Formats: sequence, C-alpha cells, structure tokens
Amino acid sequence: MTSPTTRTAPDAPATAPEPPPPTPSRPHLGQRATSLLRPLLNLWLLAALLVGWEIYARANPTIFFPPLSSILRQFWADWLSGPPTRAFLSDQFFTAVVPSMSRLTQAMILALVVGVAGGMLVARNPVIRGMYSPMIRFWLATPKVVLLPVALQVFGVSDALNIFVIFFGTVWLIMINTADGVAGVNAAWLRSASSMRLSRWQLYRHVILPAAAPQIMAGIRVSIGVGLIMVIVSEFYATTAGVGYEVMRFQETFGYLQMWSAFLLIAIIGLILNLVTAGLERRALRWQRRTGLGAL
Amino acid sequence: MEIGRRTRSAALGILGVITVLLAWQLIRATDTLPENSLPGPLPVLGNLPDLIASAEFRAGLVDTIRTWAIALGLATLVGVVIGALSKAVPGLASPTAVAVDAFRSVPSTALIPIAILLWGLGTEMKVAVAIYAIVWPILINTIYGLSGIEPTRIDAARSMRFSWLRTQMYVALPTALPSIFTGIRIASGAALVVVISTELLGALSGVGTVLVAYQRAGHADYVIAGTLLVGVVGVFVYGAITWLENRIVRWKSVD
Repeated sequence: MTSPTTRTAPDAPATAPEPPPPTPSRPHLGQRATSLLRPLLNLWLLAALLVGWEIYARANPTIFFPPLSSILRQFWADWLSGPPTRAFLSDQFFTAVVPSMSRLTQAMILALVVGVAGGMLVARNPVIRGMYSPMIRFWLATPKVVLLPVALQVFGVSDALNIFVIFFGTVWLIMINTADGVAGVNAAWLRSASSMRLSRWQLYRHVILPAAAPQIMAGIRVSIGVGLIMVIVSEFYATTAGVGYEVMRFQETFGYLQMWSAFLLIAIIGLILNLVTAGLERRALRWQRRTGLGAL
Repeated sequence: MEIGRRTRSAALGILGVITVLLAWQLIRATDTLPENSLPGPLPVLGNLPDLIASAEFRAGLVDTIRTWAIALGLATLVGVVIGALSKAVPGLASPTAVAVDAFRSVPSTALIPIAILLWGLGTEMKVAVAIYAIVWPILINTIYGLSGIEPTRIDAARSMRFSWLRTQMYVALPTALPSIFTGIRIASGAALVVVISTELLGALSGVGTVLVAYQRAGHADYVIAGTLLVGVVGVFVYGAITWLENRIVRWKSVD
C-alpha cells in the first residue's frame, strides 16, 4: 500500500455532488436543503441491506447468524444499560472500550511522532534516504500482522504487545506520507525561507510542516483504519481486556448473541472513527497529489 | 552514470541494513531482552536457508498465497460486476458508495471469530473474511473509474452503433481499468494481512499457522526468520501486482 492517497481519492464519488438531474422536478427546493438531504436519501440502500439481513436471518434461524433486531436488543443490554449521568454507557462498555482505545491512542501518538520525524529526516537528508528508504518500503509492503508471534515472544501478554503491533502497523505509512509531503514542498518556498534567514526550527515549523500537512493528514487517516484492524487482531491474539477480547470471550463461551453485540460495538467504533477523520480532513485540508519518494 | 548511481544507492541500502543489524546485535549484546525471546541477528539469518528448505514452511507459504489469489480473484469479479451494475442503473451509484463506505469502516479482522463459527477453520473461512476485507476498495474504484468516462466517448460509440456490450468492452472498461487496478493494488496488500490474521487466529493451514507452531514450541529464531521471509513475500506480491498493472494498463494517463 505505497499509495495511501489513492485510497482517499476513491472517496470522491461518495462525497462529490451528483450531476444535476435531467428534469428539474424540484426547482423550489433550495440548493442548501438538497445538499443536506442528499446524504440521507443515499442511505436507502444500506437500510435495505440491513432489512435484508433481518429477513434472511428470520427465515433461516441459527444461533450463529441471529437477526439484527435480536443483536440490537442484546447491544442495548450489554453496552447501553448504564445510568443517564454516564450517557447510558454500561460498566461493561468502559471495561471493554477504554483499554482498546487507550492502546490505539498511545500507539498512534507514538507512530505520529516517530513517523513524522523519520519522514522529515528521510526527505531532507539524501544519505539517510538512500540508507533507509528501501527498508521503509520493505516494511510498508510486509503484512504487519505477521509480527504478532514475534511480539508475543518479546513482550509477552501485555499492553506493550498490542501497542507495538499497532505502532509498527501504522508508522511506515505515516513516515512515507510525511516524506512525500516534505519532498513535494515547493523549492521556491525553501529558497525564500533561506533568503529570509529562517532558523532551522522556524523553517520546519512555518514552512515545511504546513506545506506537508495535507499529505501527513492523508497518511494519518488511512493509518487510523489500519490501526483499528491491528487493535482488534492483536486483542484476538493475546490480551486480557478490550473490545476484541470481548468478541473472543463470548465466541469461546458460546455466547453468540453477546459476540455479535460486541462485534456491532466494534463496527460502530470503526464507523465513528471513519466519519470523524473524514470530516476533519475535509474541513482542514484539501487533497493534494502525491509526488516524490512513494512514487518511485 | 546510471550504473554509478545504482551502485551507490545499493551500497547505501546495504549500509542501512547493516546499521539496523548492528543495533539489533547491540540489544543482544547488552542483554536487554532474554536470549529466548529475541535471539541475535546471526542465528536468525543462519536459519533462513533451513527455513526455506523446510517442506512444512514452504507448504504453508504456498497455501497462504493460493488463498490470497483465490480471494483476490473472486473479490475482483464481485467488485467489478457490482460496481458496473450500480453504475449502469441510474441513481444507484451514490447509495452504493454510501453503503460501501459504511461496510468498509468495519475492521474486517473483527469478523474472523464470526466467520470461524459460520465456515469452520478451513480455506473457505479464510477466503470469506478476505473477500469482505477487500471487495470495497475494488468496488468503489470501479464506480470511480466508470464515473470518469467522458460522455463524448459514449456518444461516439453510439454514433458508430456499438452494441451495449461492445461499448462496455471497448469504451467503458479501458477508461475504468487504471482506477480498478488501483483498487486491486490496495486490495492485494489488505488480502494478505487478513489471510495471515486468520491463520494466526486458528485456521488449519498456511504460513501463519506454521509461525504460531514455532512460537509455541519456543523457536524464537525460526519465528523471526519466518516473519522476515513473509515480509519478502509481501514485497514480491506487491511488486508482481504493480508489474501486472504496468503491463496491462499501458494507456494510463500520466497525471
């Protein structure tokens, strides 16, 4: 996956405005109202598929594949039965979600610091680039989950195992995106900066980092999705708490409805993370074409 | 000149690898981690020929790659067909994109325990999870590619009395193929991740299963050597897909 930005590009049809309909049947509806309504109107297929799940599961009753309505009832009991003061979230919700999200946050912060610093170093120093860019590309193409057995050897069953695997799964993507972004900074800006006698710190802080930000942001967005995958798979593999652990625990104790409800919780977390990062990216940054290292 | 540059970049690359090996050896020499959890680089590298020669490891690798290829092939078929259909029916493309965006937000690995219940521990389960993981980028890139067709080209085909099928084959597909291949390239990496994940989590065959067995038997050196080899396979697979892409999509515009 050396072209992470190509992964953001396919989002375009989902967000881009539709071409105007051939017959303007609703000319009285304001532009604003339609643009607000359109995303909701486009939800019908998703809703139909979920109804299809319900109907199929009711027609073919099996404990492995329950109807959505039963899962939602279980979901309510498992995760949303807490007091109103805590937004109805149950104790079980906190014991499951807090460890997973704390691992994801810690690993992502670590990956961001190491990835951005490393990416800048690689982009700005030709010797370091020559030495380490082949290795960065090697790790980028490696299916990182394969490190789980090694991580278990080194860290044992501990938070460090999960954090290491999430970090290792995401840092290369952030690094190569940063390097690309930095390599793509307009050379004229760098010349102006040096003619203004900016200090090295000022140069990075006020010129290079802002110019590379869209690319770094694109890397982070893809990384959060990858990070969530790593959280879940590492929690399936070795842990004693977390959302992935909940799914595994109920699968092993034949609590299939609870297993599905824990799965739904993970799905909703994934959905929220995706919406939040997409929204942030759209708000703050425009999409920028990648150039440089990764294109090699 | 070109050869000089190549030698230089190869030398630098090797130098980089050597620095990492030295750092690794330093961790070993200072005994930061116990020998049985992180052996030094020399015993690990010494095991590589052993591992490559091992029939068990090779069989696992072949099984993994076969599963990967089946999943990628099926997902491409499903993704392109559904993508083309949703583009062919007016008003279906946007709802499809919304649904796809929702489905692909679900971390695919979370489905592994469920898939094990539904399909057991064999290849069927591995392929099922992998298809779920990778069909979305292919589907969305198909829609995206088909959206980029200039209407004048469709008009030109119509004025030449192309049949619907012929228009699809000679106008729509060539325009959409670069984008579809982008989807396939993304999918190929993700498919390998998911297939190996299922193997680490209990599937009956594959290279992940072999690595877990080594890990349980306490052969840390084999585990690390095997991990590096899987990394090489990952690079190889990625290179193969990119090569295929460059061979097939020659008309891809340089944008």
